Amino acid sequence: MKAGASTIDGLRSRPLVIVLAAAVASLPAFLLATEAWPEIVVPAYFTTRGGVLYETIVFPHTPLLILTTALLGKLFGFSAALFRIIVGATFAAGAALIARNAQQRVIAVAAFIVIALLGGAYTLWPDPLLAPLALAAALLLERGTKRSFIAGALLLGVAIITKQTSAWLAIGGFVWVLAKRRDWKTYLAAISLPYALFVAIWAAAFRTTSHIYWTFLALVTGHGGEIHRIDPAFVIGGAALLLIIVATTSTLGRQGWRSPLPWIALGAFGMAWPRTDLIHVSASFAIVAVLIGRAASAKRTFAYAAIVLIAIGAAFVHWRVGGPVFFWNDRATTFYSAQVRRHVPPGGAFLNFNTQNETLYAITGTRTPSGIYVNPKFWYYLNKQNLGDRICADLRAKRGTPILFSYLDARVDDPQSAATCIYGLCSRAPVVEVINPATQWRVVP
Amino acid sequence: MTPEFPIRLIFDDGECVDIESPEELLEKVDTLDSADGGVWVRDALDRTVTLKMRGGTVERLDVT
Repeated sequence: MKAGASTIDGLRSRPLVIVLAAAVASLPAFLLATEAWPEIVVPAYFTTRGGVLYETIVFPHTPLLILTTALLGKLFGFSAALFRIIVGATFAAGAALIARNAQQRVIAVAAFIVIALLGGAYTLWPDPLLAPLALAAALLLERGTKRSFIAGALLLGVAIITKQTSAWLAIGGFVWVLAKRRDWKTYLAAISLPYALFVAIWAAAFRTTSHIYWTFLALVTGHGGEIHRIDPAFVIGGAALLLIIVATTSTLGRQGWRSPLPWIALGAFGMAWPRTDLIHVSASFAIVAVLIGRAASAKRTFAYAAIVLIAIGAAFVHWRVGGPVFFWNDRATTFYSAQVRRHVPPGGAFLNFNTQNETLYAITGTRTPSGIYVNPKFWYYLNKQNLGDRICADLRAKRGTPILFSYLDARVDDPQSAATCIYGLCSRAPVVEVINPATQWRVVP
Repeated sequence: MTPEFPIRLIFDDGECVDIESPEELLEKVDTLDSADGGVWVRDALDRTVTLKMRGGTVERLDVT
C-alpha cells in the first residue's frame, strides 16, 4: 500500500513535470518537418469558403478535425504556423496526460515522443491526434465511478466523430466492458451518442443524408477494399507495438489485463484497415506510453529495458530538423503555388489534376470550377454516386477553364485514376504552357 | 473493521472523490478495487480502507 508522504510529494512535483512534459513533447512539431495533409486542410479550406462537407466537399472522414481546422483557419488564417500549433498542442496534451497519470513519467513521456516520431505521427492527421483522447477515455473508464465511466465512453464517441475508424477503439473498450461486467448498455449508448448527434444535426442543418453515405455506408459497402494498402514496414513496427502492449500489460500481472488500457490500445489495430501502416494505429501511442511507464515502475529490469529501447528507437528516427510543412511550404508546393498565382486570381477557378498538391487551392485562395471539391485522382470517390460523371459534365460546360495537369506516374499512382472521365478530359485538353516535362497548363476545350 | 464515513477516494492523478455516506458510495461508484492500485481509499479517521465494488455492489469495505 502506498505511503501518504510519497503521494503528497508526487502531487507537489506534478504541475512542473506536466508543463515540462507538454513543452518537450510539442517541440518536434515546431523544430522538425511535418505534414499538413491535403485530406484535412483542403476540405477545411473549402468549408470556410461556404462548402458543405459530404455535399460539395467529398471526403469520407467524420468531421471533427476538419471542422476544427476550418474554424482555426477562419480565425487565424491557414498557415504553416497554425498547422504546427495544432500538432504541437495535441502532443502537448498527450504528454501532459501521460505525465499526470503514468508512473516513471520521464520514461513514459520519452517513449511517447520516440514512438510518435518513429510512427510518423507528428503530423496533421486524425489518428495521431486521437491519441490523447483515447488515453483520456481509457483512464476515465479505468477509474470506476459511474460518472467517469460515462465520460470515458462519451470521449470514445467523440473519437468516432473525429475519424470513424475509432469505432475500433470503442470495440476494444467494449470487450473490456463485457469482461468486467460493466454496464454495457450505457456504454453503447454513450459511444453512439456523438455520432447520432452529428447525423441528426447535419441532416437538419443541410437537408442531406450524404454525410451518412460518406461516413458510414460507403465504408461498409466495399470502399475499404478499394483503398486497402499495406506498408511493408508495418510488419515490424506493428509487431513491435503489439509486443510492447502485451509485454507491459503482462508485466503488471492480472491487474494489467483488468485495466481497459491494453484493450483499447489493441482495438487501435483495427484502425489499420484499410490503410495498414503505423500512423493508422497511432491513436494507441499515448496509452502505450502509460503502459510502459507502469511496467517500468513495477519492474526495475523493465525500466532499464525501456530506457535502452527508447535510445535505440531515437537512433532510428529520421529527424528532418528544420524541415518544412510538407504539402504547404515545401519547395514543390511553393513552386506550383507561384504558378497558380500567375494564372489564376484569388477567388478564381482552376482544376488541379495530380499536381503537388491539392493544398494549392488553400494556399492561393482559389476554387474548383464546378464548386464541388474532390481530389480528381481519387477514382474510388469518383465512382460513387455518379460523382465523376457529374463533375466531368460540369467541366465540359466550362470552356476555357485552366487545368494544372501532371501526368500520372506509374511508379506511385494507381492506374485506375486514368480510367475516369475527368482524366480523359484533362489528358486530351490542349496544352497552353509547358511548365516541365511532367506538368502543363491546359484549358478545357 | 468498518470505516467511518465520509471516505475519500484519492486517484493516482491527484483527483479526490469524497463519499459522504454508503448510499452515496452506491450512487457514485460502479466498479472499483482498491487492491488494483490507481486509487487510495481513506476514511474519516485517516485510515486506509479496502474497497471492492463490482457492478454497483459492495463486495468488500473495511479498514485495512
